[in-house]
Amino acid sequence: MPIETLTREIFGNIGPVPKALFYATATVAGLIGVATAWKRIRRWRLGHPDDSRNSLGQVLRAVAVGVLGQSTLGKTRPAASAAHRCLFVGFAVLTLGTILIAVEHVAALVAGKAADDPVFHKGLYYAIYEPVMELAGLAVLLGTGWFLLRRRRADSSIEHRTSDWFVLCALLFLAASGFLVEGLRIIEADSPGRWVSFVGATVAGLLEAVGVTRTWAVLLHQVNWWLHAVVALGLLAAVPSTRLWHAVAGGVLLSSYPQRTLGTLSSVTIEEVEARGVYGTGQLTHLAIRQLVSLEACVSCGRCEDECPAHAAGKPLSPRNVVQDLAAQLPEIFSDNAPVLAGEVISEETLWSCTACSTCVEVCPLGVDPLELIVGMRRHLVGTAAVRGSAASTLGKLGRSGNPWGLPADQRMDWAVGLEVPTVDEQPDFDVLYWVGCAAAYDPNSRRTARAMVRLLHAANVRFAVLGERERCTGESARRMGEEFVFAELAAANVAELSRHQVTRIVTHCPHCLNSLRHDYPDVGGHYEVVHHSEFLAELVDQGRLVVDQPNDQAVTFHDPCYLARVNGIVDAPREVLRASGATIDELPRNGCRTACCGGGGGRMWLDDGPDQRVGRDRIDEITEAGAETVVVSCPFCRTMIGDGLAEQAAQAASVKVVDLAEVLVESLEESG
Amino acid sequence: MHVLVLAEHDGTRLRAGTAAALGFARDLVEDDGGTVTCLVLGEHVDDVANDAASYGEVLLGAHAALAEPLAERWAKVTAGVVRSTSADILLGASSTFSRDILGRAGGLLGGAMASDVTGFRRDGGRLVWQRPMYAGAVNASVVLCGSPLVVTVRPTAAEAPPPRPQPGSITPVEIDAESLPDSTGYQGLDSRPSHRPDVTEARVVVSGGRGLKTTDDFERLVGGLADVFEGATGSSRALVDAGLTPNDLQVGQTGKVVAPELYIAVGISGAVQHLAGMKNSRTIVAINSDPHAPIFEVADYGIVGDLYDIVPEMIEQLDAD
Repeated sequence: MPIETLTREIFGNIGPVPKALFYATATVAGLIGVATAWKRIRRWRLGHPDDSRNSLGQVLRAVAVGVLGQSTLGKTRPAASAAHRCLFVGFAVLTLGTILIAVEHVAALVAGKAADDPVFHKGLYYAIYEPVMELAGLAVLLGTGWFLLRRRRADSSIEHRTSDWFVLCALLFLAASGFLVEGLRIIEADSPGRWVSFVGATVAGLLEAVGVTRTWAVLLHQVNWWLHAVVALGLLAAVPSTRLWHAVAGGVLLSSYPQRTLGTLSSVTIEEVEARGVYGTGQLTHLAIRQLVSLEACVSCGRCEDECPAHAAGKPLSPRNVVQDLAAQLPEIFSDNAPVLAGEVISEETLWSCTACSTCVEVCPLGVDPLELIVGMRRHLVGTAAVRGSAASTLGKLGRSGNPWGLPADQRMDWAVGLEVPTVDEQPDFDVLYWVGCAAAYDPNSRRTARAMVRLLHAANVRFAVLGERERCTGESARRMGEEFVFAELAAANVAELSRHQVTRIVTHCPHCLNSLRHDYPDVGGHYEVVHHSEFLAELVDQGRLVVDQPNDQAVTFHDPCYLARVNGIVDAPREVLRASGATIDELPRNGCRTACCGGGGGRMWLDDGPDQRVGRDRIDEITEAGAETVVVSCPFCRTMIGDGLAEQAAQAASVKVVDLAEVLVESLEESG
Repeated sequence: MHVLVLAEHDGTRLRAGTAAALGFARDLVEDDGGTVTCLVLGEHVDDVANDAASYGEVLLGAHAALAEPLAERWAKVTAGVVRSTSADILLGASSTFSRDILGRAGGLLGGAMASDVTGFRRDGGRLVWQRPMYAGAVNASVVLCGSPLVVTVRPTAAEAPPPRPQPGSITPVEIDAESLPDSTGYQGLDSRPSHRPDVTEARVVVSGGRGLKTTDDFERLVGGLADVFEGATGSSRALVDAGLTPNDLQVGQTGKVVAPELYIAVGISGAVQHLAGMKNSRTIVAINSDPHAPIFEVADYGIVGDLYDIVPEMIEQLDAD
């Protein structure tokens, strides 16, 4: 059979009256869909405008990669992600195919062509179009079937609504009835080259085998066609009222706004607060439009909840629930007496449970940022003086003394006693600034990191300097606790000091200082090249400036800090340093960018908790179960949290050593012996 | 000069901080022959009034409306007494209680306030108060402008005075319950019964750290040493983490902040999170087997050795005294 003759009649077997009826139904369904969608979109417009939006080119790229390519899916739950790809891609292709049919139909009307003489829906085009649509239909069947089976098992992290059954059953019905309609059409119209529609042809074959004649097919086709059409149009009208809406809101979110870098937070200045009269998120209208959209983009899949360390520790926080509880307030957005979000809709304890580890932001396929929402609500708590206890006293000490423990600035260099540590005034022509951070300055345990680091810098003949007594806390935890103005004050003082000495390159052993200097400081005018000491040391080893002459062939366990690995993607450098020292690394089950939180970030370091409720308990168990003798850390917070957490084991059995990787490396140098 | 001291009590006795504040008040009036009066408020507080009378004159405001120390009521009554007795200085111990009530009373009186005072001197006719600032990094000298003066005193600023041979008189104060505000209510008291004083109030605190192996050891050694001084027990975070001590004993950045006269750190290495909670103690004694333990950097006295040998001997010798 010649390929040119391939085609099928649009609206074949559907008479003029039913056709008109179909137009009317489609119009009504479309109007209902648009009206309900508009109700939702109208609410978005109450948010404050976003500072940055994607250009048209960026939107198109984001649609292609993020939306159609589903590139953000699959960091966790590989099976569900694959099923979603099947369902989404299949559904998108079928929708596109249906739109092409409509285009063909209108084009044929305009051109005044007969029903069996299509404009382009024929020949080679048709020979490609049909199998693609068949595959898409199969993909939808497969994906929907998987989701239906999963929904039968009650998995607590997956939220259930009755409408979900409607959506999934409707999708399943659409795919199945689509094939059935096709099979009946093949019998009824006796289409040429039926095997182009291979599933439809199979269905037709089966129907013929059970004795469906052409006469029967004419009738059955009409019935099935209508069922298919009514369900399809019903689903279209229901999109904004069901979970399918996430595809629209998520599409807008993923495509319209630039992808945010992990570790960044939106900044707010005192001028903006004065102008708007709002600090933090007390009401939904205090959110950005992007954030309001994100509340509806959340499909409540629970990937974030699976990964949240606070949730795992039994804290009341689930990032998914935060987003969903806020979304549940959206119908009240026009009301004057909507409940206060921070403290009422989301409890204070929930808000303070977050370690800002950023895993929820990382795994969300739709680009929802629960961390930003939480920090926004923490800002509200700070702004309404609702912060109490050790959190409040730490913020007070940060503001007063420039360090979280309220210790005097003139003790900031006590860690360096007996070492040659030049300040920026003593060594003005330094190549790199060593940012010591408060922990290494004041905490006797973390001082060992800085002391090891200085010996390594000297061994490699690095011209370095420190800010000394003028260095202050970066303000990292203040910012993540919602105290933007203590952060701004500390950051401004540090930036002034760094500018005064024309600092361009900074090395630090603290991932929190690193992230703040890298991602927070550009907001306050500080732009530097910031490297972690693991990167810097790996570089020195690589250049041959640090020579290991006493390799220590010990086996160590390495714990990746959230703000080093997940947030800043630094995973290889610390391992290179460890291997260079001669050590072998026993990896923990959760390592690299998928590391587990120690519980010290996001200001949690300064909050009082019973040990059984402490975030990061499971990480301690993981380390203990791995049988580690030495845990290598590369973050002062991890050092404290893991060191304290291991105390229980230490009280009972052989103690586990907790050391920084700089200490491991320095031990392998000859001069240390 | 007339000094009025607001009593903080447990229903039967004055708290140690108030006794110290009375001693501080006595030092204040020593030169100019002024008077010190203790104001006792509450309900059924005759025992407290008798305890206070052993130090001098007492004003007693007993009424059901004052059963609990609600700041808005107590502050109003206190301010009224300051006015009616023309007191020059209103004094209290540095505590949550005083922060709550004296600050408010100072506001009602339009007075001038200094908190956490550790000492005073006279400069000509002026009183110059000493108070630590910037977490003890600076000792500020403060002159208050205005009157009356409202001052809270660190428990370590003075000794409790010796009792008078003759108890002072107890004069009742009229309480007009109708005029008292009632916009705050009393919900309840949640406290852990313990025969030892609260770690934030005690003049002596003995704290245990990772050097201790079991709960029994903690009770026998740390608790035993604390009992010798009638002091409180505290704990480092590591010991709380090890499940050996309850969370509310924790001293440090994320626990209680204490500044007793004597702090004995038993088997505590001295992480900064712990130091932040106790470095302002007047005298710090550290016992640790590791001579390089950072706790020795802040300690006034250090004993290097096994706490399991040293502490029992300390208890024995101190008990013998």
